[in-house]
Amino acid sequence: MNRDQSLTTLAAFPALLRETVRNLSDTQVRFRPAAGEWSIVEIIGHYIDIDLLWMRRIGQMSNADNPQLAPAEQDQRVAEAHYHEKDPGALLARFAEVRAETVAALRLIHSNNLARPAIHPLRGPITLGDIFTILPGHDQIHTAQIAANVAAAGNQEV
Amino acid sequence: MTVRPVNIGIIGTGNISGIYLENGKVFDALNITTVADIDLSKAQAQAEKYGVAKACTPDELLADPSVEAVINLTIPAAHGDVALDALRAGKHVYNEKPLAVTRGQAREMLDLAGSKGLRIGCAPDTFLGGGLQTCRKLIDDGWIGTPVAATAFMMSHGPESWHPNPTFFYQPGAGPMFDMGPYYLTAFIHLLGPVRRVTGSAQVSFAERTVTNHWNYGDKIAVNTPTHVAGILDFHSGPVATIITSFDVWYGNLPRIEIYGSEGTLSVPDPNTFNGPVRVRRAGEDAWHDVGLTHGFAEDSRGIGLADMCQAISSGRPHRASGELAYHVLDLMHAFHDASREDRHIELQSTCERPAALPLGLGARAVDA
Repeated sequence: MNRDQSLTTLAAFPALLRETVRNLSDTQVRFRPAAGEWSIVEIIGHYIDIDLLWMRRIGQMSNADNPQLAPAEQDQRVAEAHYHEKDPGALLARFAEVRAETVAALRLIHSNNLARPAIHPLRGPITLGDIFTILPGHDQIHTAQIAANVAAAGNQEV
Repeated sequence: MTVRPVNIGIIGTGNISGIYLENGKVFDALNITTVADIDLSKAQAQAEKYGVAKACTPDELLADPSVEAVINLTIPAAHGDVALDALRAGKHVYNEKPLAVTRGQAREMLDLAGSKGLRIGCAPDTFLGGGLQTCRKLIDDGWIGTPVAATAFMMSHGPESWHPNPTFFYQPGAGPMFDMGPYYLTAFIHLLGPVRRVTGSAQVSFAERTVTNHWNYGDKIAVNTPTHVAGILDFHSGPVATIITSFDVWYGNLPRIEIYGSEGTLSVPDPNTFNGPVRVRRAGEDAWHDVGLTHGFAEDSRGIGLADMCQAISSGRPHRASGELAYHVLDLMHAFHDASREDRHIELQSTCERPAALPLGLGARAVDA
């Protein structure tokens, strides 16, 4: 996936996500497959958190030489934000806003800065250019998780 | 980051107070506890409308030790006196624009705040919106190369056709430069840094204005301040800029603000808004390109400057819509008029730090990551 394809894919994702959850019931979007696992509404909140995190990392990587990136602390963020109790429609709208900012920030990365490095807490050495594949990949990982949640909810007494 | 909300009182509950009260609920750093007005019934009405716990007189607000900061939304002529009273009462102050009418009173405010360890902030804070922050990022990231020049135009035919009380716009301390200049000059300083010297020409094109609004149709206003102000600014960072603010122009077709760089041109949105559009045309390109906004707060986020100040009080960092910035803007506005009167360039006696850009990836309720 080249840079333009990545930006197109990232920009289109909020609408796809909205379509994915459009016909789900409130019970389905708040269903947790197992203790400690996220509901769909929490996954939507997580998408917001991760875009904001990557925007901060873009700023960090643009301004510092080979910075050590902070961990995502994703479970803690999701719990502290109480996404499980939030309105999924409002979270989807917020995600669309944040994703537009993310795409704009990615679009403004100069091509001669794509090789700027950083140390990711889990992935190790990465570059600014890697974000163009990491973020679409992250979108897909949790799309699969949403599908699994829907399937699991169908097999449970919900 | 956990934000400690600052307890805030508003003095002056006219129209503009509504957006501050509305956005007071948006930002984690703000806790508006009290509203006050010399007309107590107006304060009570706003308190009821926005669910504020206490409505009182300005003196009662200033005597209340629980109020840590005052938003000063009085008329411009009262900005200085009210702010000084609040500072003497030990409270941080955030003024609506302008900081004060005179340089002397504004300097007295900054000195008093400094001696007491208090903060002064001032509108406009539109430069913290998504539109102007995206412009800042484009400049800082080199998308137009090195800025060499800039223009700003605020062309209108004055407020007498729509404002219910237009007389004060034509009195000393008002006019197009003092009324609208703060938006344009603050945007300039945000984008290009402080100004070294200015010159300008100012005139009263029409000695009398005729009111054409619904309320006072046909009334005459004697004009006692320049209504067309053309200025030239030399920035410490190098660029030369042109600004015109006018109440004497029926129609124009000029952009609000443009920044001209060694490698392209940036079209800046209306600095009296928080939104876009932001457009760039780089050298050799055959068309302008719309640029997506990299920052949030693109809706009417009036009060974000206050939220930034309150977060800065907690963390100890400088705040962006600072008294020093507002003083530099006030000094500039006076200097255009001085230059015209004295037929010369004016070397600015004031300066300020270029406010720090907002970081990427901010949440919706805070201005620190």
